[in-house]
Amino acid sequence: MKIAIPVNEKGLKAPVSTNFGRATYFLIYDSEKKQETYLENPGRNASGGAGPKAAQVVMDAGADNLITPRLGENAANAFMNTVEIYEAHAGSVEQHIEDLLGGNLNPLNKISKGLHGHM
Amino acid sequence: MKIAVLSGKGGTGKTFVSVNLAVTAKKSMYIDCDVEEPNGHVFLRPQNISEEMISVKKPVFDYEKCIGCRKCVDFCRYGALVFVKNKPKLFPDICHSCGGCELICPVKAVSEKDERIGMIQRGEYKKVSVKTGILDPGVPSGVPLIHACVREEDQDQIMVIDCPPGSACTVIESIEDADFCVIATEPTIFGLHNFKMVQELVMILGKPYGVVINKLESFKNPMDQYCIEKHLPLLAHIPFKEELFQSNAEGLIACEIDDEIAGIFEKMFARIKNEVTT
Repeated sequence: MKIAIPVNEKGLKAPVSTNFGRATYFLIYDSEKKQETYLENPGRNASGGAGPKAAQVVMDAGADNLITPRLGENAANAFMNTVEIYEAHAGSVEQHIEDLLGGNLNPLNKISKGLHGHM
Repeated sequence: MKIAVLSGKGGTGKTFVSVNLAVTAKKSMYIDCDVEEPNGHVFLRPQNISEEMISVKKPVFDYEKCIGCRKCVDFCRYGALVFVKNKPKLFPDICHSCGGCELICPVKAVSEKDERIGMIQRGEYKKVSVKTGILDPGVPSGVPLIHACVREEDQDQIMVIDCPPGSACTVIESIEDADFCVIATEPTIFGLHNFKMVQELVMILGKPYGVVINKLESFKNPMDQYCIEKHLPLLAHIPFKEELFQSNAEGLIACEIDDEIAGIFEKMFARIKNEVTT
């Protein structure tokens, strides 16, 4: 299973990014191989369409699950029926992976309107 | 001659200046590009109204023909297309109607359909042609409608463009073809702050411009001080008068009922004409 997590720094001790579309990287964690891959987020500095651009990277990486504290409506729409979305908490990336594998994370049910230039 | 009236801050008097300039010019065209909330018509009360629907093109995908080559998704720099389960998925609010996906599709699986975004209303007030851009509620960008509003075949007539507030894309679209920019501002710190943002924009676009300080109570104010320090072209001061607010609230046109205001706008218009033609 592949788990995607938006992060602003590399390493399993890092916190989850507070934002999906504008995160620096996406950690793609392969739970079978116990392997971490960090992908640059093209949405980070995009003038518009950051959510869909970021969602594309996550889907191209073949992620099954995404853990994020918030998600805009466009990205959520892109992931529909393809990627399961879980709500992040204040802990480290490592903690989140453990929680997800243990079935201790809740699905994200709050979709934000997104920042759309009002940063 | 295209005169654009803009301001960083809303409520400084763009519509007040635009309407009075258009009326002072006598035979002119007033174009309301503040398409999210056009209000010049409140004062000009145009007669003989006609309406034209404005639409943009949005792509439609024929998933029977689509071979999932992903060329359209990779081409779209706006992020309006996402490749999901080997097919392009459109995010219409992000689409800029560039037509690139249709051009690049190797199997002609992409066509375009018209999507209404608003309308242009035309009418007349005395010798002023009144053109109003009205964006439909919920449409994410007014830019294509503004583009349609400012595109005018008769380039020789005097056009006064009432811009949206701020310094974003909609303002750039409104002033792109302008020969002269009038920046309306207030004699306050806030007014000065927002003035600087628009001034920067106007200078980047290389437009000649002048400053109108509205609601003036005293010449000792941050805006006047800045204009003097930086040697900025001051076009006019408009006094703070209770009668003006009264007549404005009643939808009256100040230069038609107030001699002092009429004089200010006549001088302003003469100066702009002089700046543009020399």
